[in-house]
Amino acid sequence: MALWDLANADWVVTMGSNMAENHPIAFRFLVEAKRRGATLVHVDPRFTRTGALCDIHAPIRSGSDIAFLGGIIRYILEGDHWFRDFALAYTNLANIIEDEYRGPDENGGVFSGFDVTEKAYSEASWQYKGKVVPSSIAEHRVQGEQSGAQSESMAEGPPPTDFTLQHPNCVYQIMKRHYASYTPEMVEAVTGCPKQTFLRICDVIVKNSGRERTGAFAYAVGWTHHSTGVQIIRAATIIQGLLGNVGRPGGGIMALRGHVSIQGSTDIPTLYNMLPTYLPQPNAFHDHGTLEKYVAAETPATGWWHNFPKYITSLLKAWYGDNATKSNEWGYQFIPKLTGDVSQLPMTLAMAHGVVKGQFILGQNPAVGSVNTLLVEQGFAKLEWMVVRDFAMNETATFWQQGSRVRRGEVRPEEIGTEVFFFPTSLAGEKAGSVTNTSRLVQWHDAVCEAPGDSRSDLWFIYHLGKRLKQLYADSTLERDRAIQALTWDYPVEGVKQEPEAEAVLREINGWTVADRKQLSSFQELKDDGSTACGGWMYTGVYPPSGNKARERKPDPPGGPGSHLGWAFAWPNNRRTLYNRASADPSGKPWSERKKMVWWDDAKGEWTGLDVPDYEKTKRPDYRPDWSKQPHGMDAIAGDRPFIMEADGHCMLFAPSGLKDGPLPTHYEPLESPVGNLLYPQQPRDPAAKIWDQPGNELHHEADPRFPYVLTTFRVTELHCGGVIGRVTPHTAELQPEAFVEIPPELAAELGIEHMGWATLSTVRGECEMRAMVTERLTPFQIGGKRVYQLGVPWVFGWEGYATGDVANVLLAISGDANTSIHTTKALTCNLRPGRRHDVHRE
Amino acid sequence: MSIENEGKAALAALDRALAKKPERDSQAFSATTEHLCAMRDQLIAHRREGGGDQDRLERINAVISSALAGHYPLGKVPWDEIERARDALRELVQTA
Repeated sequence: MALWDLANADWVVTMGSNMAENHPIAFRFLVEAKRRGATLVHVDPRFTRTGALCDIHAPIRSGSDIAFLGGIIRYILEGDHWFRDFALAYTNLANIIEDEYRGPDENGGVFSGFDVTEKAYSEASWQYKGKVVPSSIAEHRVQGEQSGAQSESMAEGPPPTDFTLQHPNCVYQIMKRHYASYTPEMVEAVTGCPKQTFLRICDVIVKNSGRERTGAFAYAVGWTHHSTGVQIIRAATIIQGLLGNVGRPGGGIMALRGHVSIQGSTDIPTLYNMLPTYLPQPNAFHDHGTLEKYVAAETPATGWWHNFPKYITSLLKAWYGDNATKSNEWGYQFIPKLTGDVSQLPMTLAMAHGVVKGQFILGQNPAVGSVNTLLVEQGFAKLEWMVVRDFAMNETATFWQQGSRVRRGEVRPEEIGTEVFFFPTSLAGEKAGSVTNTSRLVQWHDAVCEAPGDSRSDLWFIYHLGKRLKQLYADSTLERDRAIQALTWDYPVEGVKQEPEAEAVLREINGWTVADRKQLSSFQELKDDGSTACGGWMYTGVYPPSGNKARERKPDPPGGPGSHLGWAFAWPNNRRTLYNRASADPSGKPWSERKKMVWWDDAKGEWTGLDVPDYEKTKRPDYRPDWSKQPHGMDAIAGDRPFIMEADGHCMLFAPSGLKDGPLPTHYEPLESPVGNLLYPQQPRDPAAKIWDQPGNELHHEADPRFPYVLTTFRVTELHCGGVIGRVTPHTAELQPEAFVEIPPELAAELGIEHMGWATLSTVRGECEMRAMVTERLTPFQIGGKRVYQLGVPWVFGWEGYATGDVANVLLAISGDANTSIHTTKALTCNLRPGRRHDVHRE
Repeated sequence: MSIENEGKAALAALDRALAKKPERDSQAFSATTEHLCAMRDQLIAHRREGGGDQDRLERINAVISSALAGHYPLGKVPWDEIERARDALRELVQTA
């Protein structure tokens, strides 16, 4: 959904986000929604400015989100509050799952298919009966378990269903059983949120959903940074699918991204396991030995992703140009193949083992922002070289001089051999480029002034580094150097600084015809025969022959459609709301006049409306696949199935594929918790979560008496992102001058900690001292009959700049969500005592 | 430690990891990685001094890539590939 569409919501639950403080521009649309009559809810351990501006604040213990959301799901199912016409038609509620499926309530706290030794799941028992359902998201595939050939079963006929919803293994019955124990009483016992507050929120949500009304969730890294982060988001997806709040005005789930253009760097990824626009990275150990095999293994038989061969071939043509020919598999062998998990966290651990020799660090400050920063610094110290680019000196660049290990006396600067190269960067206004925001909106900006001194844009750095590498390997005859020789690297440069033309990069991402270099207008023009080149299929249309649409700034007038199609470009195809076919009923009519978005125009024989329809333009609502012909791709998707990226066009309430830790969200305690799992006592943690057990990265045991408090980390408005930009600027630094820990008054009294005095936090990984902020923003929880205190610390402080303080991330462990390897920063345990650290020498 | 001894230590650690199969022995994989990398670094140093064996360096790099799949797996550990890496390492050690 578009950010501005939040203003059309009748309720918004902000959860896992302090939106008013960390996304203040986006929060304006919640304020507008409230002005129009919407009810705003903030679910969060802390009472923040977001909570203060909402109608309801529900305090919950960090890491108990799925218990809360699961309770809402139960409330919807048990009370029959779901939007029947929507959910029965558009979700997989009626689909029948394999007989072997077992939920955690009947299988010792884990789903069927769990391999205790490997700590990994097989998805076989989660499938639609008799089918193999391919995952639509490359990042989430269970590596090596699926192949395109297996998903041929999806082209042989529709999955079995029972629309009476009586079959014991239909998704509806499975979900009813699964969430039966998530009662309001259990929600209160697990989360600490008073039952009456929880029920009030349930009531707001269900009463304001349906044909005439819609609502949205807004979340940020307060959901993702958990060992169950993906499943928390999935839980919201289920609620929205049941209530019909998907693909409709004011309905959806707003992912508030943590940094500027993080959406863009996911689309054109800096991630290790995806090629641009969500294509799977080849793997050396899968059946990916040739392009033909890779395409066969990764192309789902049905749904939109069946077009995958066009996208990968066009990507290879964009990257390798004339060096990509049919005879050399369009350059497929030039692409590196994965062997293991080379995401940032395990590679940080690998640095300490000597695997990594050097590192480029751009757009981040891991000495402050990564978890377990003492281990991070140990890894840095093993590197031969490190390149750091930032607009001001940051902690990563000076770790060898003033780092936490140096200041603790663990190591002396002269003992660290890492050679650090610091390069000053341009700031946003000093360079041209695009920002892709949380709504997939690609907005262009020009350089408005020259960067001072030797500062250069990251684009300049990467481009000229690439030029030098190509020059270095130009005469090599080694096969392994062919990839860098074959790479197209012909962006025009301008000015004295030889700045690459950023729009040339966008033109390449958009794509063109190879023969006459004509810009493409839509990804539907892409081919798998080498005649088109495209750096990211979802972005096609951002730079059509008419010019750079990301530059456009034409808002709709008051009373207009409200989709603002003339304002920049939203991928794909300038659609503002994904799956907006769901805004019409199965016959193609809007569910209501108040909530109309796209609809079927029978006279014209096409989909039309206020947004660009996210559907095949002329596919009739009454189109049905002819299963006798084994239809593939979109031919297998009926005209009343809006979710075209899924193999059967259904919203997957139950996920037969694509999740590494279960087909349904299930409450597990955080990897560190002061209490046991009240819902599944035999299984405290997510069994598939990534735990890297090595010295210095130990986890606390369940209910470890040494670490009785729950700790969450957060950011502050005044010190943007990792903090450097605000800490080196006097007028923002003075607004948040020192690191602090938020402590509830009851605990402060128990421990004898005074407001503004010193307090020291500790875990087995490390300690940090901070000023005590004794505040009623935090209240004690009753969890399973036990009083549990919650603490909160901003993680944005370091030793550089005017506003300094201990790095909070020394407290955290390196661990990963099973699906994304994202670390846990929002729920861990710690100890707290009055006073300062003992291990620091003070003058 | 010499290159040969680093190789032997890596091989012993990888054997330990495989002996525990299908259980993943993090410590054995950590030791494998450390010794393999130490071996690689010495080969690189020799290359930079104008000597060394390029083919050996490439083969040890391939072994490291596979061993990391056990140390930091994507999903299940590809044990067959780890065994192949062990065999390749054994050959490297024996032909040193």
